[in-house]
Parts: sequence; structure tokens; C-alpha cells
Amino acid sequence: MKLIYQKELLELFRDRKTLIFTILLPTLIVPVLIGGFAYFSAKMVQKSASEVLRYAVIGEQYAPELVAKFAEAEGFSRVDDVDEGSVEAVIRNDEVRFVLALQGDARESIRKGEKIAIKLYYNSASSTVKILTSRVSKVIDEYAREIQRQLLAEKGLSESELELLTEPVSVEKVSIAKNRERVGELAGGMLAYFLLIITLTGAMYPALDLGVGEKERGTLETLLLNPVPRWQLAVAKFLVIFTTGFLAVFLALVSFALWAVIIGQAMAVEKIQEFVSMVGLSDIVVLLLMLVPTAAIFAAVLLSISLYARNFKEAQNYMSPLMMLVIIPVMMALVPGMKLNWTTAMVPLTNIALSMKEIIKGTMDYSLIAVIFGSTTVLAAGALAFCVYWFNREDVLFRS
Amino acid sequence: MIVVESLRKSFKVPKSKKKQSRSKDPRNQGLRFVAVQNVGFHCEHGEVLGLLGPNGAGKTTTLRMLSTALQPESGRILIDGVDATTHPTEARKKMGFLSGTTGLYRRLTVRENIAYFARLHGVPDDVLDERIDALFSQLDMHDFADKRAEDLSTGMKQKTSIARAVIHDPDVIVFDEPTTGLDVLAAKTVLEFIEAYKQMGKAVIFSTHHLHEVEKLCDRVALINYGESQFDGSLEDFRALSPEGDLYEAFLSRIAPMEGRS
Repeated sequence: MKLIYQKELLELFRDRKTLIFTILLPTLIVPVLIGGFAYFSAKMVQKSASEVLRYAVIGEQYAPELVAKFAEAEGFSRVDDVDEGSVEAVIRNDEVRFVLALQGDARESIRKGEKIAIKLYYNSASSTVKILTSRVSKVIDEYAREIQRQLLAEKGLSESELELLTEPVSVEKVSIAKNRERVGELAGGMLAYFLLIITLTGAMYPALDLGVGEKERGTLETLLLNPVPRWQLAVAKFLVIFTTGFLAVFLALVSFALWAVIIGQAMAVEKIQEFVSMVGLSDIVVLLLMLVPTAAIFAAVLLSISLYARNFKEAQNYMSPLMMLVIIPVMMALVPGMKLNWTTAMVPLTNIALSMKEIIKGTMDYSLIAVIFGSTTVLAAGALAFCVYWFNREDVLFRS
Repeated sequence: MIVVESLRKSFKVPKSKKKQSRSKDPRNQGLRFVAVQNVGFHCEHGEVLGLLGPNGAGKTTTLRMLSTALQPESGRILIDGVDATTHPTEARKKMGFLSGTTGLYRRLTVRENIAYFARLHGVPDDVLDERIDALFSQLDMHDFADKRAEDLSTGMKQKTSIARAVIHDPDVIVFDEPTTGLDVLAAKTVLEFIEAYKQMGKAVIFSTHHLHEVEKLCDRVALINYGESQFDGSLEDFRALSPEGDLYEAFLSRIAPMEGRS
């Protein structure tokens, strides 16, 4: 079995595709893509926060104080000659980002005891809409607050009474969550997603090559003619696929850690430095331990599929839905409110994703580790047993 | 010695091929296709047996059972006294098999391919290099010994496959259409190799469509058609099936009556 394992591994690593999927993709391409995505997202947010927002006003005469506020506010630039009929067009064409339509005389409304009606036109389908509405609301809130002050001053109320009236309840929010928990809640879920997908993709190409690839090239039949029991051939192939899947995720994890340290130190990103200092080596070891039976499940299932397929294309067709079957339980772990407990600890893949999140958060209930590891190992053993049984079936090996 | 007796093998007909299976082939039996039925032949040491039959006759299924890749439903295969149906691993040790495909690992060199299969057969490391060199000389392979299999020509691949099949020095060798797709020179080398093995006292089964190769090499002939044995005897007896002693006529005389069944 050792001989077959060594030979399969040697041959795989002489193949450029294996090197790409097992080494290059997890260590360089995925971290660079994720890093690049995070960098450009941050840049986009930064840009829209400092962007000069072009706007138009309709009915300026009804609330000159508000118009003046926008004129004074930083980061706004007014565009003239926009009427009710052209509002949608100018926003869609990006000539302005929003239009304020004042509906009636503000002073008159206050005098009558009515609210001042303002219509704010904007494109809610824009990716930076939250930043836009927040910046606009800030100016409008300031205007509203001034009106409040004037009204209350007219009634002879002091500043403190004014405070009491506008904010009668003062809530001081004290979160007991540590910084690591807050960061881990988001980063842990995403990390689990990436690690499991990397494990699967790292094992996928070798599984194709060692199963249906050997069938197509005629080497499987040649291999069967040797005096080696079939179960040993199946287990050796399984071990090679397991090795590549686990190697891919191991390298990915090491790469993520290195990139985090590099970005944290070299670019002096405080949040990342803080996060790296919180996650210990023991956490990484536990993470990797959880991935051992997971990689074994993927290896056994992928090899079974690959052996069953008549050709490379058919195997790829079977493997695409498998990707969905992996993504859905992993995404379950990202659903708000989904927690690791005795029940979810028994759900394959969801349990691994949830445990990874808890490990990163630093809130892992270690009594559940044994349950997760145990249930996943039993599943992996079952998958391997099925794979060996599959390898002994003539109608699978010689399916045509 | 190779003894094959009353082999039978059927396969489940896939749903996608059920319509096609309603054809007139007598081997279609509803949900199952009887690929081989009542096939038998034998080959002594120092003999070459030519296994003949038209395409789809059941030769490959028979050879796959002989190689232990497929398990027969009934019948017996003895390889030098070892029952291949009950002791497949033991039988494989005694046999060298060259399948229809060259079956080489394309990212391994010629030397690595052969050494790998030798080790799988338990050839000790201390004699391995010596055996490889002897085969390289016999088959004129030194020039491409360290080339990867993916860079070889068809002839080079076939030579490598032959070396791979006999590296463990088996007493029984099965060649499945070894000259298909080869140029004249490469085919000549292969045929000379088979002749040499015969002279060494090995039992050789040689499946082919080329009757001139049968004439040149074989001592015995087994003919299969529609999955059933149509002839098993000496080359002379086979030739005698034709009044002119012509192998093509003899072949057709055994195939033609069967064609009426379809």
C-alpha cells in the first residue's frame, strides 16, 4: 500500500494542475483574492464616505435654513435646474446622488403645529446607499434639532429640559463580548467557509485523476492485474486524495496566518495585529484537527464518485452538485442565531463550521469537540468503507 | 499451463441501452447480456495460443476473466494449477498480462513505470535493475528509458507495456492485440518477443485479428463468436477447416454459420 501511495503522490505532484489546486490556489491565489477583496471594499467605503455628493433641491423657498445647512456642510455640491419631472432621470444618470424635494413652507407648518414634509429621492439599489443616507440624515437631523431648540426656547425651557424632552431615556450600551468574540463571529464563519471549500477543491482534482482518469487512460485495469488486494488499492488511493485535500487546507491556514501577520505588521493595521495576537497556536492546531476527518469524508466521497463515472466529464458533472451539498451546511453556520450545541454538533459539516467559528471566537465548549470529532470520524469511516466496497464492484470499475 | 473451462459471464443491461438490446443478438436475454457462455481452451508451456474472434465476440471479457479483473459466474480457470477464480492474487503472481490499452502512467518515466509494477509483483530490489536492463536490451529500449511515458511514440509505449507485463518473469503471459496500431518494425519486435518467450517454455495466449501473425506464431487456436467457443485445437486442425488450408477461409467457415443467428 505504501508503494502505491508513494507512486500516486509522486505522479500527482509532477502534474501542474495538482500543484495549482493543492499549493498555489490555497497559499497564494485565495489569500490574495480575499485580501484584494477586503482592500477594495475598504477603499470603496472610504471613497464613498469622503466623496462629494452632488444633490439638487426642489422648493428651496420653503426651507431656506435647511438649504443653507446643506450649503455649509462639507462634502456636498449642489446642482441646479432639476425639476420634479427629471428627478428619476438625473439620479439614474448619476448627475446627482439625491434630490431634496421640500413639500411646503417649513415655518408655516411649524406655526400650524404640523410636521415639515421633505421628500428625499435617492437610489436605494446603490451599494453605498447606507453611507449616503447616513450623511444626508446627519444634516437634516441637525436642522431638525435647531427647530426643536427654537420651539422649546419659545416655551421657556432650559437646555437640560430640552435634553430631557428629546432624549428622556439614556441607555449606556455595555457589551460583555470581548473584541475577539466580535471579530470571531464574522471572521470565524467566513474562515470555515473558505477552509472547507479549499479542502474540497484540493482533493477534487486528484480524485478525478486517480479514479476516472485511470479508467480513461487504461491504467486502472493494469493496476488490477497486480497481486495486490483491491481494498489496499482503494485505501492507498483514498490516502493520496486525503493527503492532497488536507495539505491544501493546511497550507491555506498557514498562508492565512502569515498574510495576517504580514499585513498586520507591515501595513500597521491595528485590528489585524490585535486579532492575530488573540488567536493562539493551540487554536490553529484544534482547527486542523477538526479538518482531518472532514478531509477524509471528502476524499472517500470524491473517489467513489470518480470511480463510478464513465469519463472525466461525467465525474465533473457529479462533483458540481457535491460542491452545493458542502456549501449549504457550511452556510447554515453563518445563519444568525445558529449556535453550536449537542444537536448541531451532530450535523455533518455544519458542526465543523460552527466549531471553527467558536474556536476563533475563543468560546469553544471543548466537551463538544469530542462529539464533533467522533461523529465526523464515524462518518468518514463509513464513507471509506463504502469506497472500498465500491472499488470491489465490477459494475463500477468496468461501467461503460 | 492455462486451462479455461466452461466460462460464463453476463452483464446487467443499462436502462439507456435497453432499446438497443432488443436487437437480434442471441446474447440479449432481457435484463442481462450474456457476453460469454461455455468458453473453454487450454495452452501448454512452450505453446502460443491464438485467441481469435470478430469484434464484440467476447474475447476481451474472456481475457478479463483470465486476468482476474472480472469474476466468472461459472466455469474454471487454472493458471499452473492455481484456480484463478478462488485464488486471484496467487494467480496474478504467475501471470503477465498486456491489456488492449498500453496502460502506462504518463507522468512516470519508462524505467519508473516498469520498476513500479515489478515492486507490486514483489521483485526484489537487488535483481530489479538487472532485469530491467535485460528487457531494455531485448526490446531495444535503452534510448527512451528515462523519457516520461507521455512523451513516447505508440511503438515505444507498446514496448514499455510488454516490459511492464513480463518484468516479474511470469510463466504464463497473455497479450491482448499487442500489434494493433504499431508500425511494421515495432510489430516485428513484438512478434519476435512472443516467439522468444515461447522458446523459453512460457505459455502464451495471444489475442489478435491478424491471421498472418497466427500463422507465424501460434501452435494452437481458440475461436470465439457470439460469446461461445467455436474452435479449440491445433493450428493444423484449424487450417484443415478450409479445403485449401487457408486460415481466412477456416476463420470464416466457423463465423459464417453463426452469422445466420443474427
